[in-house]
Amino acid sequence: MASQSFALHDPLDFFLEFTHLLRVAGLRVGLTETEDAMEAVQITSAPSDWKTALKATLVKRRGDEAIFDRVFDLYFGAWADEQNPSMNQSPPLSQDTSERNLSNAMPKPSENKDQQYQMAIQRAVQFIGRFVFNPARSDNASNLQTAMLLLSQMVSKRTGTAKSLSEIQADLEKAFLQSQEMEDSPNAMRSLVEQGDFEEVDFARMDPSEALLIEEQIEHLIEALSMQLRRRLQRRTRGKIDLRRTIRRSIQFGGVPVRLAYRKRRQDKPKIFVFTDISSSVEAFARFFLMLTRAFQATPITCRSFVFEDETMEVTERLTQEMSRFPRAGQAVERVLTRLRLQGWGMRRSSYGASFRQFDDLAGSEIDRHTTLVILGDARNNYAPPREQILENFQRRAERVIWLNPENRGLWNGGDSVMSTYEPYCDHLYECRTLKHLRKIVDELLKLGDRV
Amino acid sequence: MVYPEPIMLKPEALREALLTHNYVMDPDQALTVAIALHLEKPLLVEGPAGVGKTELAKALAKVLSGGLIRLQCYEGLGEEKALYEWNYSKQLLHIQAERDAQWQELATDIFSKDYLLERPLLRALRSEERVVLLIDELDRVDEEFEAFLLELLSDFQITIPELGTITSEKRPVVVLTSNDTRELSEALRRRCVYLYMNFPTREREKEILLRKVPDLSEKLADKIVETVQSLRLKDLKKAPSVSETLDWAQTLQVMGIQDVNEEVLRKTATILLKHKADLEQINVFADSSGT
Repeated sequence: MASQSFALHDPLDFFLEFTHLLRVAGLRVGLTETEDAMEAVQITSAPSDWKTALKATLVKRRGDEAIFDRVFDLYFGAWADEQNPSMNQSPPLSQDTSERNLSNAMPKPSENKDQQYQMAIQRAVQFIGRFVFNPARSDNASNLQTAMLLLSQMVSKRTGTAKSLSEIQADLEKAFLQSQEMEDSPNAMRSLVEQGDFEEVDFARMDPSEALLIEEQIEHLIEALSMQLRRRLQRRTRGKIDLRRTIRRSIQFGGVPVRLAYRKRRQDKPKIFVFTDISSSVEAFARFFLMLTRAFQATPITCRSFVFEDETMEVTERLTQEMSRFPRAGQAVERVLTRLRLQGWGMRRSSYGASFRQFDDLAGSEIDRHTTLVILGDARNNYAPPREQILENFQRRAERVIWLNPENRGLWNGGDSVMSTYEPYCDHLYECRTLKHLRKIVDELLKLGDRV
Repeated sequence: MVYPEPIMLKPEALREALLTHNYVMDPDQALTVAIALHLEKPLLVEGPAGVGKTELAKALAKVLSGGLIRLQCYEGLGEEKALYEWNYSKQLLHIQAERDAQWQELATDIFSKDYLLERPLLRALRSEERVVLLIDELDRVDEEFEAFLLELLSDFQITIPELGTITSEKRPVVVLTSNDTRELSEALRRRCVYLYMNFPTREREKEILLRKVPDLSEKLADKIVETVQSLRLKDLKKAPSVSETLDWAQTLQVMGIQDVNEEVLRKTATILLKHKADLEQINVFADSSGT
């Protein structure tokens, strides 16, 4: 029996198959890793150590550990546990070479073909449901196809069924769609059809799974923005040669200016003030933008954040505090916003004029020519006085005033929106309601590093 | 070129050997380390501060008895501090001393090993023993340097224009640690064997305590471990690390305290907790539970 199964399933096959599954599930596994894994298994003394050995060589970051564990369990559970339930728990018998280990761990064809075929299909569906088809990932379509093909091949090999590959694949697809329908069909089906274009999803109309996706993208954006800002600002610290100090230094080398001394360039620290409406109509966008402020934390840029509805409040400190405690900016912002909501924010009508005045009292005097002021809001002033002269004042003193409006451009100035009143006092005015827009804004923010 | 024998160590043997140097490890972790040694790949250790990442490298060095070379990373670390640097002042003195020498011989003189300042990476490459090279807190370093390391770690050789190519005779065992303040590049990760170290389990932490703090009573060790482990579950800015547990145990021992209660915890909390907010939180917690 053992030799037969060995002939059926080459160890190399096993490794290729398993690593391929991991790849489909989202891990980056290359040929080198596969080779390493095969090598690593050699020094394990019992199959129960396999999981660790494979993990050590195939997993390269902590977040991937959980995925690996699940794929491993499912893989060995799926194909091995009918006959070899002890595979993970206890080392079977005495085994001397890893090849024997391998052949034992290999799944074996069973007698009852049809039942096993159904079971295999179910396991495959389970696999797809858990790893491959993940609403939080953007590359579903191609991945789904790869996985379907791969799993069909596996089902065919494992069960020895007479069905053709395309028949198996059809069965698999059917079973998968069924499983999705049983859960939340409209959502799954919809994202199945329109994967990938969450870049253009309107923040005001996104569903929770899209929000998750977008949030993940923003975390990446934060990382990139922060890094590039740091790099750009760093380059500028070295100034002209300081002749006096160079000469003094040269004395210890007998008058040869071996080491040059530079004047330190006085850096005018860029400042960015974020002033955001958090009333319910624009809250989703405010959340994303507040997340972005994390990017400034590791840079010399001073960032202060203010929220407003009909009054203004500074949240800089709260944000910094939460962000130092949570690795994900989304979590931190969520906590700050929740606290505000508990204090009664989020249901009042926004009044831009009143909020501008309060903002002026709080921080107006600190707006100078190094300051970028970013205002977020739909300019729906609820028919209150707009007080645009305050904004004019800000613009005169600030380096730039950027207004981001999360409403469709076509709706501006309709009803109680007074965008056109404020527009003359903004250096830049952008529509910003999708991830795509936000990326453009980030490019704009990068200019913070180019000054001086 | 003859490649040295890779280190063949059974995981269990490695674990035992580390134990003799008072380093306690899970079998799974020992296996991962053994694999890294076997594959001659750098071991990338990640995990919260103070779980014993650096200690692992030190213990490993003792086990392999080749010595430890440590490169502490920081922002702005460059090749001249990590790899090598010419001793400019000494070269200059040489030039001054031999004013009439010909340029040709002068150049060969001042670019010889006498004027080379070896930094940790070069020292590890040139060592005749098999050393453990510990590159600590790699996440602090700039991406440029990370890319440079990549090259070094894959070939274990380096070219110095004036001296030629230097290849390591005995590949050092490389341990990289990271506190995860910055995501390391995919390319670097791929060249390593990855080990995530979390805070130890109760049993393991107790074992560590008993090994590292001589004469500690088992009862007190139990108490200490329990307190620390429950602190770690709280929403703290910085959870107490293993080294802080050790410090605390030693303190309690010096103070002659045999039992941990809230009074003791409050008095000595500064050893475990290093943030004002955390201390306040514990005080509040101790008060509210009412004694």
